[in-house]
Amino acid sequence: MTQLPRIVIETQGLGWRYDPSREGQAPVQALRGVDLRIASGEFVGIVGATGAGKSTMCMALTGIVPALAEGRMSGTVTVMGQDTRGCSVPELSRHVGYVQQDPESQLFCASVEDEIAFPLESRGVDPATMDSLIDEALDAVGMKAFRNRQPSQLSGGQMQRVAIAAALVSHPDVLVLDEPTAALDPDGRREVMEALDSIRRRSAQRGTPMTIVMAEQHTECFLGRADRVVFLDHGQVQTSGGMEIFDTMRVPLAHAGVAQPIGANPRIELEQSAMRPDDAIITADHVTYRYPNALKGAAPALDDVTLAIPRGAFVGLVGRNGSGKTTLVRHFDGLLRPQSGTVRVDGTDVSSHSVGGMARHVGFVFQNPDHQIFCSTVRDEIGYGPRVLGVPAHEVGERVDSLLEALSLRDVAAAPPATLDYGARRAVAFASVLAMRTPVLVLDEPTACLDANLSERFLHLVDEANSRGVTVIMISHDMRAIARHCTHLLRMERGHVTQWGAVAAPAARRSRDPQDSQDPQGPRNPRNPRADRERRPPDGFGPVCAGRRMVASARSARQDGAQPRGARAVPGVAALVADCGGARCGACDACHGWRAAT
Amino acid sequence: MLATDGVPRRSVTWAWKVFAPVIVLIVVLSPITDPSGANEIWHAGFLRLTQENLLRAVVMGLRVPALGFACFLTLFTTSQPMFVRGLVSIGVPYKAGLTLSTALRYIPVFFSIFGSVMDAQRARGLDIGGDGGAGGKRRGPLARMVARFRSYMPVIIAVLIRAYTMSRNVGWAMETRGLGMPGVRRTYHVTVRMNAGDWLLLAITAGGTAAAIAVMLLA
Repeated sequence: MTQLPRIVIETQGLGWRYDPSREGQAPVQALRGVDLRIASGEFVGIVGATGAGKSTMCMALTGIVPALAEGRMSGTVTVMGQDTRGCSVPELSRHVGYVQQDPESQLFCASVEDEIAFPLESRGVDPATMDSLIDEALDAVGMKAFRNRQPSQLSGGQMQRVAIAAALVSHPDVLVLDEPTAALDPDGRREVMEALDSIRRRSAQRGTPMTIVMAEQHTECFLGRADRVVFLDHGQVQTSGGMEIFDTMRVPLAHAGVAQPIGANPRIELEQSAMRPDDAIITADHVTYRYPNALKGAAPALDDVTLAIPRGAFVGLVGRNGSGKTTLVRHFDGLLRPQSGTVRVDGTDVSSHSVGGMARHVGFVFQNPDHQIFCSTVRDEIGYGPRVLGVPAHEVGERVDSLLEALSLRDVAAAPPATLDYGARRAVAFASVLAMRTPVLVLDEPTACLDANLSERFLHLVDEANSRGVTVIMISHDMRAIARHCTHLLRMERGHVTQWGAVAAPAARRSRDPQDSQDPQGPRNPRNPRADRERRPPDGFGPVCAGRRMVASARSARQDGAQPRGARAVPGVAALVADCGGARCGACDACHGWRAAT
Repeated sequence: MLATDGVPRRSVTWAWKVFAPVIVLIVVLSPITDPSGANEIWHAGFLRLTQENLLRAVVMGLRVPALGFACFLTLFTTSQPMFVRGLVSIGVPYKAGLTLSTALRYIPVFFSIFGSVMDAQRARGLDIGGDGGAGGKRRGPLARMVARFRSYMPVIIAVLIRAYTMSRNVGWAMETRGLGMPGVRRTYHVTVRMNAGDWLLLAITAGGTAAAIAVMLLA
């Protein structure tokens, strides 16, 4: 029996530079001098900001870098004793299983069974043994009952489990997962992590412990699992150690937007059911909706929903996948029309207007930025919406410039948005809707797949819009973001509203998460969002700890090679930071760290 | 065949809905472009309806569902691995068969992406209908048609971008699962064998085709 090498993965001075994707662009250095050694059976987590190099690192371990990606590699990567520069991706796949972030792109067969059979066929496995191997792989991830299903019929979590099974069926030595839970709701995330736990148990029982390398933004996935965590920042390994690095490297991790691995979500309590508001900007009266291709006898996607959202509210809309969240918000801009009942937005019956007509009233930020991007430059993309609405050219220019500045997109204003990295594309799509300045803003998972800093930056802009009176409805699984920003909570389940109301008073709202910041000025006033806006500091920063945003803003400016605007443009920053210091504000360490760094 | 193949009635109805406008167009245009025939039924100006050109119009119209349903039934009743395996067994290279079957498998995915992209663009005020959209300017019919055509360009661009990214990721996923592994003869989970009924059907089809060609040539 062949003995597994003690070190299964070793990188020495690994660097990777992506070729420019557009004319005039400099090559992007994604990895720099990465030295890493991973032993057999280790579970290694990789954390870092969006764009830190996590995905590139995963691709380097599978051989996609350098064999398939376009760029230049320096240094070496050795997996199971093989130099990845000297073998193809299929050859390396004998030892390495790979799970990508997007479930849809990695399930390309017509059935679950075919997906699992594909790698076996590719390896020339005896057809007589395939059925038992397929059974074993599906059983390991709890998907045996779905063997004959089409992948398109599965939920996100189920699709990722099938992808894991397909990666595992040929018994690789190493499993590499690139943010496998990024696109999943909490249930899906739990399913995937339980599948991984099962796999580790089984492989340990067989005496062949599985080596797992997993890049992830949801750091709570590493609790009780990761033997080691590697912190990547700007393509370099900043540190590598056990879970204690979340304490010892708290400040740099916060700078990089890496969330602390807090197990429990904050509990959000609501005030007693409120009366129908006097000034409701959105009303739904007995709305019922069934999708045209729904099975006969299936429950409606929305079932007699009645709701009144007060003007100026910031609503967190939560619920499991399939609960009706997206179906509900699509009624607000006319993408869907109720089969019974009425939906009114800003006094207008939505069914009497086209979707294009409703664009004046409702801005909709979709989760996938690639569904919104089509212009040839970032500037044109952001300005498209206001131009269509008939906003004068000079005002369009002002709005675009302001958003380019706020989202640090000025340097790429002339670049095609499709060539930008994921975080920048999200920012462009986001800005393109914000620029329309509609009285209602709907956000579909605005923080999904983003690091904490980018998420806060987006939500800061949303806070600003809300402070100007824009009503915001945010679909999110991020309960911490909802606890920090929302004035109202709407929970849905199976097409019904199960919880709706204003978020309760400060003592009840206080999060268990010590990292969560507390507003030095006190809680938001959900009953009177306008009064709450008047209490904000004159420099325009919202109720979220100003210190943390300063850090994020200054850091981003430094990344872009610009001066840290937070330190110079706003004279009161130092005082704000000093005032925060010493208080029970989770961002204080970040503030101190920023001061120390500058 | 449609009655016995087990394809859901809803899918057959959908296919008829897709073919119907094309059939109607062909049947209507055919006598206009072909006024020939000895047995005139009716005429007005250049338009001349005869028994012969009406029969030809019906035959041309029926060719659409004949060909369409032939493809439709093949795809609906043949699983992806069977499709690929069948192509490989008649000598088509595996990767070519895989490319074709994967392309077919992703057609509904891209339709779904097209719908999502269109929703996202409409929500930003894109005038898909060509009727002026959020800007509110009314247009004449021709201008509306041109505007409608142009309005699809942003959607098509966004879909193409997504398609490129997805196809690259699919290719990577295939390779990381061993596609093209050197030194390995690929095996197949699905086996394809011709039984007596298949040979008989093949013989009847070949014979019938030959007979039809012979009749045409002799006629």
